[in-house]
Amino acid sequence: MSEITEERPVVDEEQLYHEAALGSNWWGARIAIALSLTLFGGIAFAYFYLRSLNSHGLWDPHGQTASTLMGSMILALILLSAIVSGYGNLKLKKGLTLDWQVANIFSLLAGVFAAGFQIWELTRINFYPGAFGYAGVYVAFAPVYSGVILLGMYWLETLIARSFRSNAALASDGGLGLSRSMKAENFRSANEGFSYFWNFMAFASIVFFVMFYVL
Amino acid sequence: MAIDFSKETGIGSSGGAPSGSSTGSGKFSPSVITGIIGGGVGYLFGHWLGNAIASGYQQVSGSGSNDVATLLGYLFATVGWFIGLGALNYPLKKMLGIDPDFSEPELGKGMSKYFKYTVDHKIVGVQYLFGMLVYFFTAGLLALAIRTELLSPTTHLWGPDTYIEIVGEHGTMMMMMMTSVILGPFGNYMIPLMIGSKRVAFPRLEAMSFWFTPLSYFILLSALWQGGFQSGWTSYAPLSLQQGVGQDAYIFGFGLQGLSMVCASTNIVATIINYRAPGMTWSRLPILGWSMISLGFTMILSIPVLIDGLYVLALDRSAQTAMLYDAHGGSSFLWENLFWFFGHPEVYLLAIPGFGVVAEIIPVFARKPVFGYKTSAAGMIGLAILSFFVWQHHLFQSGMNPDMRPLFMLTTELISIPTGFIYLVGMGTLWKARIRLTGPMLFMLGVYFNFLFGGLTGVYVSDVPINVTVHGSFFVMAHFHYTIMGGVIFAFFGAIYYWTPLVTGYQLSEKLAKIHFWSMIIAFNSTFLPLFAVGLLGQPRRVFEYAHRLQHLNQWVSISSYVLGLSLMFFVVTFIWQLAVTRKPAVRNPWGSRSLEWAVDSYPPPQHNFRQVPVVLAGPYEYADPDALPIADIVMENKDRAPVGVDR
Repeated sequence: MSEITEERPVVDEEQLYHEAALGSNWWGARIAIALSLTLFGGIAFAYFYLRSLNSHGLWDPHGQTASTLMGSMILALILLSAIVSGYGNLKLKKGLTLDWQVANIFSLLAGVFAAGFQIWELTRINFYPGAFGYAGVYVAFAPVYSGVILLGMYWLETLIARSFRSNAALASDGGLGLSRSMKAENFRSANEGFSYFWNFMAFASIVFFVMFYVL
Repeated sequence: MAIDFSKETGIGSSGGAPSGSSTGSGKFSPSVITGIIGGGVGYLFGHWLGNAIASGYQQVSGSGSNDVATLLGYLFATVGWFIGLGALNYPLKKMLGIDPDFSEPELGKGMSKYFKYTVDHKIVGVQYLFGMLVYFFTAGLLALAIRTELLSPTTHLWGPDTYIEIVGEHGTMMMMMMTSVILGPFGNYMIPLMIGSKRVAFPRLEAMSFWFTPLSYFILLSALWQGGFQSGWTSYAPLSLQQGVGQDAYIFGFGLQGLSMVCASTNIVATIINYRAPGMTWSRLPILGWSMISLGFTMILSIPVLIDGLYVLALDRSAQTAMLYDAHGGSSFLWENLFWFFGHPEVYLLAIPGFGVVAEIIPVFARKPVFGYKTSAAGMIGLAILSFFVWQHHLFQSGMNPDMRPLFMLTTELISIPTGFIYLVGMGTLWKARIRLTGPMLFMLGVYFNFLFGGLTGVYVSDVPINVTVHGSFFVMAHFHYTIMGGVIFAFFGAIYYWTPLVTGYQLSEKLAKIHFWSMIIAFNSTFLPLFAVGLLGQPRRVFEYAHRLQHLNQWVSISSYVLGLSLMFFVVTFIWQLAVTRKPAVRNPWGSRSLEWAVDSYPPPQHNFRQVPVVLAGPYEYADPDALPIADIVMENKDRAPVGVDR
């Protein structure tokens, strides 16, 4: 066996694991998107499968849907939440942490209201869950949709809480948006991950709005 | 109850507080006891709530069976279980804005840490090992109950309903367990060591992945005294819609296991990608790492669909939707598609880690590099990708569009190509090798022997004409037992013999390992090989009566299965005996492996794995090259402690 002749390279353990944590934030967010995609994909499959089969002509014999007004409002809230959150991220890049906080508190509230309206709508549907194919798939979709929104809002809430706890300490270094500290970099990578996830949810909301209220 | 807002939580301080794991030593520190209390309280609350909501439903008052109460009971039991374990402390603290915490509290030397929610990947690995053994032996006892019933075609031990409940319970428990049997104990324990990391990416997800499994085990087992589920492990509708609350135990138990797999795979994927030591390039990643990453991605993309299917079934049974009921606009085929979109990748989820273990261990005892390292990795990735395109072959017989059959026959046959890659890599590694026939190596060779039967019959049953002919027969049953038990379980036991010195610090007896191997492989083949003939002669699965002419073959199989059970019992007794009584200390790197996990300072490894982050210098399989560098710099530092007499 050969002897090692080179000097052992210096490994900055703290930096190594900091970068690994940033990478994990990146991958964690993408995996969350992949999991949500396949979770919603299964429901979308159920929708199109039953719709195309139209067993006994009972996919949706009377063209009934859940309240389009409520559905539109939920979609609008989610889109608004995603847009405002994205606007906050632009501000954060300029070092305006307070703007990010305000934008994302608004985004959080919009998301929570959207989930709340979705649950409320589920209790007000004008058809029996087993009456026809559409009814069943809608009843299946609504809790999953609101549940994933609430999980997303939990994620956002932890970011907002972190920003309040950390920002004062980092103010002299440019704040959370510009600081080169590990704490700030970790925050920004987690926020970037959430942002991707939330944009995905906005896209999924459009797709399911079209499926349940337009088609 | 178990939410511990003590000074350790760091609330009120400037973040970075330790813990999130629950290793406190206070009177009410979270443990499995508080978990059980929390789960019990949660179940009672959920059941009460379900009764309050749904007791007036016509369906409930008509049948006397309240699925809403049962499902809500399980749901709140899960929440209570995790509150009791202390698993929700950290997520709640995060809501107060603490920064991510990667610290691990110091663990004591006692056994109590194994009964707590901890974030040390090695503790989780050991928890998984014993958890999976309990799963396996429970399901194995159910298998013996099945074989006892089949001793006679006419004299019955069980009624037909009880028999099919036992079959369903055995199948579900085995299939749930098998997905985690390599990833849980060996993926979680070994991968961070093999890649030279001191930690994993998401330790709390990893810990949660384990703590889902005891709950799913007990919930699934509880089905037996709730009328069971006669729909079997595949639970096809509409039969699954007509079952009692035992079916709810299936739904929830399987769902929890699915969540466990999602958590485990998220962690393992992120860990392998991000936490490799400097110099641990992709081309130096151990084959077990490749198998784990293939497995992880496959799980991430398939398990949510299973959860969708279970959710649809639960809603049809409780909220009175009709997605699986044709007469109200649904379709029972929806379940088959959702289930098998997960179910067939799952078969490869079982096989891939088994192959990973085999490819990892064989070079050590062949003293040769892995033949076709890249081919092996490509085979695993190919297997994972193709596994998503074969699920419809489970519907050949159940009424799919006949025009679709050739396509799925082709994709199923195609999958034999990456499988063949992996098999041939093993053969190439063994070719002209100076093989050391140790206990672990014998189990690895056993995998190849068994998989030959399982794999080749798999090529046959992928063809529509044969598939239709042998569908639902013992032939198919023998086929998948050869691939799963003959493959994964042999790899599992081989891995236990191989890594026990590292995990426990104690060496297992080679002689006892060989007795276990030979008794197991003979009994295994004596049990399952005749079942091909039994199936071809027309005996269907899941039916407790059969033709008199098949009695002798069935008796042979049943008696062989008892011998197989004795062989496994022999393992249990000798394993516990050697760890608890004889306790022969392990020598350093007893197998002469180049892999990084054996380069730690002590066996079992210290809490943070390595004193310093290792710098990887070479691949883990360069056995034949006398000029090869050691795998990492830390190996040279420990070289004085290398075992004597091992050809390196």
